[in-house]
Amino acid sequence: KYLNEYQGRVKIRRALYLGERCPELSVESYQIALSEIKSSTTDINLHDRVLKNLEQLSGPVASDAEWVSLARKANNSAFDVLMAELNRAKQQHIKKDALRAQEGLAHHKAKLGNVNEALRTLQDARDYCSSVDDQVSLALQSAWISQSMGKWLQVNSYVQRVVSSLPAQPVKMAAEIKVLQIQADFGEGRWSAVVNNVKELSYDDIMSTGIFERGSLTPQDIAVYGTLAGLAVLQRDSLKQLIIDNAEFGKFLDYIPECSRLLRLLYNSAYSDALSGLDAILSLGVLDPVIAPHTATLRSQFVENVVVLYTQPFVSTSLSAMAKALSFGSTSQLEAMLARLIEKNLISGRIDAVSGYLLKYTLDPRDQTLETIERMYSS
Amino acid sequence: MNLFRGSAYSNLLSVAERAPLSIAKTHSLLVPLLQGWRVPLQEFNADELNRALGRVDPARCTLAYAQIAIDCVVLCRTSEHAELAAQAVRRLAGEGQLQQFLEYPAMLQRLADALGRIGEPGLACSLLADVAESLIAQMAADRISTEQDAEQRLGRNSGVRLTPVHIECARQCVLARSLALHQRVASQVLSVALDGLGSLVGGQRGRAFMEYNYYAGMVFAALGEADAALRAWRRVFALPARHVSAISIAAYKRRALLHVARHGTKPKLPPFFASAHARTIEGHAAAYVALVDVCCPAGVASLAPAVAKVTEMRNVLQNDENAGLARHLLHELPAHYIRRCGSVYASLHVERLAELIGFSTHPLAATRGREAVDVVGALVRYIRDMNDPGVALDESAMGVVVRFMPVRATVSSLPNSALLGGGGAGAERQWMEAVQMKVAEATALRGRLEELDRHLALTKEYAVGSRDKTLSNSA
Repeated sequence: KYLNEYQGRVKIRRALYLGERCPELSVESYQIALSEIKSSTTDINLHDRVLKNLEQLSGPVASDAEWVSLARKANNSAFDVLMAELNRAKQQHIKKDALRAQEGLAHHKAKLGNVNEALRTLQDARDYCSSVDDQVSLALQSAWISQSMGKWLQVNSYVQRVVSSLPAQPVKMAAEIKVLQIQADFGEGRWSAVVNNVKELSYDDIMSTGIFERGSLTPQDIAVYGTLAGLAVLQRDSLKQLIIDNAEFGKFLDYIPECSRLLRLLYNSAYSDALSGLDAILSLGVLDPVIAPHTATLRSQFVENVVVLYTQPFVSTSLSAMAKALSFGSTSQLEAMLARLIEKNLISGRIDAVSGYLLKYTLDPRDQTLETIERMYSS
Repeated sequence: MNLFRGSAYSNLLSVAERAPLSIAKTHSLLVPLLQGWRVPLQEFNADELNRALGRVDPARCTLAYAQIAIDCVVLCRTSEHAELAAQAVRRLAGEGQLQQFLEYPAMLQRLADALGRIGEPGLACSLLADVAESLIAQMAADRISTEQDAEQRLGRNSGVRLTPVHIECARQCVLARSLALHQRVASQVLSVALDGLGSLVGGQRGRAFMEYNYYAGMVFAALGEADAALRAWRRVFALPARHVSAISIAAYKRRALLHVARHGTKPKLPPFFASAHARTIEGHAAAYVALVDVCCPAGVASLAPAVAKVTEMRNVLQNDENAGLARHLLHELPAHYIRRCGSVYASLHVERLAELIGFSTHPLAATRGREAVDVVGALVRYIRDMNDPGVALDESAMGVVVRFMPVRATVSSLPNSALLGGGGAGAERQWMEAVQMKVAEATALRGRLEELDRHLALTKEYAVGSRDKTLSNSA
């Protein structure tokens, strides 16, 4: 059910990722990947590779020789047709036809699995652009091809190109870009950027773009990215304002109620339950190629956030009580984390390790000023 | 009639007697004679030299007397010879006239070079200090006497200029390794602020300035005056230069070690120092840069990496003759690590502190298979010796506890501030004192800037290079 939400290269990539990391679901994942390869691509090499993996797991599998032969023929004929069209357009100096032929060639290469070649072809197609709209269209296509392969830096770079070429985009394009940026920023681990884009989301505009029907991205993805990013960087008040009370984002949260529950638990200071909820989400996140690289970072940032929130209302906090409430293995683990947070100036306090308390303080503004002056005049 | 006929110094003495510089410099034969001077004796002849010295009045013919004294120093081979030479130099220091040295400044270089080669750093330093103190006194007196008009007097400017004797004195002081000499030279020579390089230093004046401050820093460091040493070494980088010198690299290395030992933070080159040169220096002192990075971690950290790094660099430190400074650094390092714990902890058991800062890896702990309690005992002794009001030991039933006090009682909201006592009134008073101190510092700095502006405008050697030339009118 999870994989059926996606289509094309994205589905294949996710299925393979799942198959490599979850032995219980490997066979099924590879079978799904094989099926998708045959239905949406003509990538014979990938087909053979996946078939080999499947055979290693479940024994000999009959190769679909007919598909291979048809795919080979289709590849050759498609390439010949596209090249012929391109050459004709070049000879006749018809930019529009040349542009379309280049785009077709790029998509053909992407279908074959030559993603870098496809991107290069789209880059070359810029020679045949006759307006800003053409350039923007090429950049967007490049962004989606990069997205299918999980190359987030490239996605962001192409998106920036769109934004700089066309500062005032049409509503649908702006929504499309917003969604691409959310996923790419999450993939790069830039949580604050994800939150900034989430707060500007418009559910109806995004639904009208038809992105989710294409199968590259799902509403659940947006909900999870926004939730996890918000939990990593936002304080309680900002979390409520930007995520929990965000009506547009709330419509995405409806697709995955676990995220709404997690946000409410944290806001209501049920830290232990919130941590359990996060662990449950992240245990599935390790099977997601976008979330998996960041699970450890997200968890540690969430725990740090929770520790900071826990200490906020109190002048002094018992370390043993806090360790118990936040399910730390030992007081010394909590003490180490508190020391890190104090050094980062996220907590204004000092640890009284003798009595086992964290003592908060607020620096007198006059002392802050004096320290600033002393720093300015020291050399 | 030549009264000095038969003496090896007859020519010098007769010229000095006939044409002392004070009468008519331009017609004097003395300077050309001194310029091409060769020692007339093959070996130390006490009678000849005594006779020559006895016939010249150092106050009247300072240059001639100085040349004979220099010859004594150059020719001396035994302790008796050295005693005679020392007497001659001391008499020169006591009675010689600065005015005459100004007519032929190379004589000072000659004197410094001769004393520098005497082979006994203690004696050389003592004699050079005598001469330097006399020169300083005369330069300061001349400054006051010529600037009688209160408006012209430039306040703190001493009138003292750098001479080759200063530089050689500092160098010999370093070589002498005598505490008494260090104290004398530091207080009487090195602590006197210089007005400028002046015309008394010939040749590479920039190098002379750098050498002087480099050696001065070493003398202050040997006396334990870390701030003065750091200031002197900082001045090594004050001169604009086209290239990096070995002196600046050596000063950088020493400054790095002492700065970390004193302040526990990474030293920075002065902001006016060219960044390209800074990179070159850091390239030549890469090991020291790495050591400083290891010794100055952010937050609470263990001493182990720093101790390991110093051990690893043992050969480099010995080759650079910085082993002593490195030992000093190692001794001071735990204090900074302990203070850093104060930015996170209000109080903790001394055992925990020892564990946090990795005190067992430090040479002061020196466990060598002994029980852990020795590490704690060594740390307690160290904290007591630190004598830091910000780090207090509290021996109670719970064991020995380390309490971190705020830097100022004004930080009344910090934990443990109540232990400092004084109450609200005391906190206010301390706050006011701190503010007043800063205001006084800023006022003093502004006044100093104004003085320097006037000094630059009125000093000939700076004004000569001024671009403010009047334009000629074409009409």
